[in-house]
Amino acid sequence: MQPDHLTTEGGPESDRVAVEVATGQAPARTSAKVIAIHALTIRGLREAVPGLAAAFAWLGVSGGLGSFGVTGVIVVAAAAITGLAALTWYRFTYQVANRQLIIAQGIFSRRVRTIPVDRIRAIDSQVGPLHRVLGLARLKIEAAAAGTGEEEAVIDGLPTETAIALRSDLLRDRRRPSRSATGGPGTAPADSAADSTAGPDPAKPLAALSDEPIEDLEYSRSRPSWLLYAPLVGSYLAIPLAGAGFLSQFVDDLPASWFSWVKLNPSTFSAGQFALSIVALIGLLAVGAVIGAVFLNWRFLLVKRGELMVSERGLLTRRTVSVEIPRIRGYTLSEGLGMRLVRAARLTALITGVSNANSRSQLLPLGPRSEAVSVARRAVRRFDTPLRPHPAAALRRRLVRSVLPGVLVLAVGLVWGVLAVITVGAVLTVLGVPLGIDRYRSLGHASDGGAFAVRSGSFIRQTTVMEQRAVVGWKVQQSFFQRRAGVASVTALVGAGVGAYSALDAAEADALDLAASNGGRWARELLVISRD
Amino acid sequence: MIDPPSPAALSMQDPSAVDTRIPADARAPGPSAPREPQWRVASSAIGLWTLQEIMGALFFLIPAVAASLFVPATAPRWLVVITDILPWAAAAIFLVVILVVPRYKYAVHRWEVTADGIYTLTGWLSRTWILVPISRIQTVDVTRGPLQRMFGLATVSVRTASAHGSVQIEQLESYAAAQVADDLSKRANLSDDDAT
Repeated sequence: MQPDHLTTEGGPESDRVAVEVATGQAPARTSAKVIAIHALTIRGLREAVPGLAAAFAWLGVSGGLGSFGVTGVIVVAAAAITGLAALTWYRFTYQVANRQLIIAQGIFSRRVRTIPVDRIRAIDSQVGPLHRVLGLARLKIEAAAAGTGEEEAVIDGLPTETAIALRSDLLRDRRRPSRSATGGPGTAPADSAADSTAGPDPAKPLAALSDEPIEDLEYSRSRPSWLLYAPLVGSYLAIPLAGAGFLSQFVDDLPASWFSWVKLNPSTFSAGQFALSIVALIGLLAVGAVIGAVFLNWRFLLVKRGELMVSERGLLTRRTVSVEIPRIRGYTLSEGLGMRLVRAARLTALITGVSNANSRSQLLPLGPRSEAVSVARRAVRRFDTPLRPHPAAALRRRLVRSVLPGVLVLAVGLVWGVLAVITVGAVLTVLGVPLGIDRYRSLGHASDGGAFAVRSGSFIRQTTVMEQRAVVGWKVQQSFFQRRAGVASVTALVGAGVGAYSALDAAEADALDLAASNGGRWARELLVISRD
Repeated sequence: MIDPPSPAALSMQDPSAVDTRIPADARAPGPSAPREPQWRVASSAIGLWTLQEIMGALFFLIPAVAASLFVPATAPRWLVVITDILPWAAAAIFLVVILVVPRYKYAVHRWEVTADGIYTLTGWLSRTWILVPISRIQTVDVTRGPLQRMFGLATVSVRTASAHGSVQIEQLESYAAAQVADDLSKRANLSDDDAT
């Protein structure tokens, strides 16, 4: 097994290639039905735009168009788009050979991408409404490519059964099932990091592996009522806002007579009408958020399938994400301010080598906190150590930060003598106090010997639990004021999630202890000079 | 404090060699602060940092002086006063910064390559200690900026799988940087792990 970004030639791998040459397939095309999808969607149009624009420009220069001409142009354009889509389909082939996925594409300039199957980290399958009608699927394949970092390959328009077969082919349990039967990701020993890139037993023919029946172990199945939490989550509230923004572009283009029934004029609103319309807007926003959540997360399902964590969700576009369980190194439990009031939470996994982690790593997109905790415990890891609070200096520092903006506004208001500014400043200052206290109460960290946890945030409180072996470095930061207060911030650098997880303003000794005791022998270099 | 080891010592670095570099007084200063990495950066870093501070000062001072020269006499009185005072006040502050900060930084900055990891301490008022294990190194680069080249300095950048996990050992003598990079990439290659 080689590090991802170092040379991959030679070594034991060459033997394996020799064994498996016979198992390769010939290059295959996707289903021709995908031409229809490409021709019907924006995609086809986008590709044809440069040509069409040139054609229209030429027509515009060479004289006006009769209605006959317009029809002609439309027919020609449709033919061109379909032709392009057909060519794109014809020139796209994929093949699995020598434990490599080879994708060749490009109408004129060809691009051949070779992805070692062992490097594939996650497969994301999407079945949109058009795909569903035609019985097709779209696979997104994520691999850590040697040298160039992450790469994503897309195979669009596979017949559903072929897509399922290819997916299980590419993600076929590379670790022997016996290993997975005894230990989940949480109980995996620290040295399994080395195992995670191991290929299959070279002596074992590939076909034999797929014959073993794999039983799904269900971790979570969402209830429709959980979708009602959506208005409390910022990202779902953004859905109706984005929709409204998109639609508002067209409002000016519509005939004014369509809106003649609208008799309201905001400038003449009474206070009651104003309040009413605000309430109505908030209600609309909430309904929009729920509708958005329904489309995205309808019937969310999380199962363990062999060595894969598989999640399914979506109403019109059904999305299936498969991620290797040994790549899961921890989880983040997120609770927004509103969600905490109703004890709701979201759960995401920390997965090494998977980009676009936000949408790929959902373990529970929306649900009761108790369910999130239970999924985390069963699907990732048990972590029961209570979090250690941070010292009083941390509270003081949080309060100063949360109150300061209000105080500054207040000061400006007093200097200017403007009542409105003074009011805003006073309100902000007062609101800063509970915010600071809440931010302080979120702070905490703990370690249980195999993993550790850090927690922070008020508007979105995030608790991250991660295995020691996920850590690729530690950073300790101490400003002049932190040094005087006897606190330090310590950050775990990890190759998963957002890449850095901090315990803010921990007591100096605690911060050091957290870093030095999580990460193996090397981490103790922070304290003592190594003596081997 | 001891000086960086000679290139020869670095290139043959092995775990047993670590012990010989430990001076008796370099014990951990107690559990309340990370220990100091052992080696200082190249002393010519003071020159480089001074030059950088001077350039930063000029970047501000030239417009400030220009403003004071070209402010019309008809401008409001407060504007004339401010533009007259500003260059002098700024120059005084910059002078202190130019004289003090580079030396202070040199006193704080430390680095070390140990048996298991790369360990750096940077900053002056705020301090940052970063420790990255050699087994998790993904790439090692040596960069030499135009100013660094004037002073014969180089920076070793070590990248890990974390988006935030890169470490820079700044302002090493070029030859030492090359040796360190070579040593690190050799040892990273040996480790039996996919570095995530």
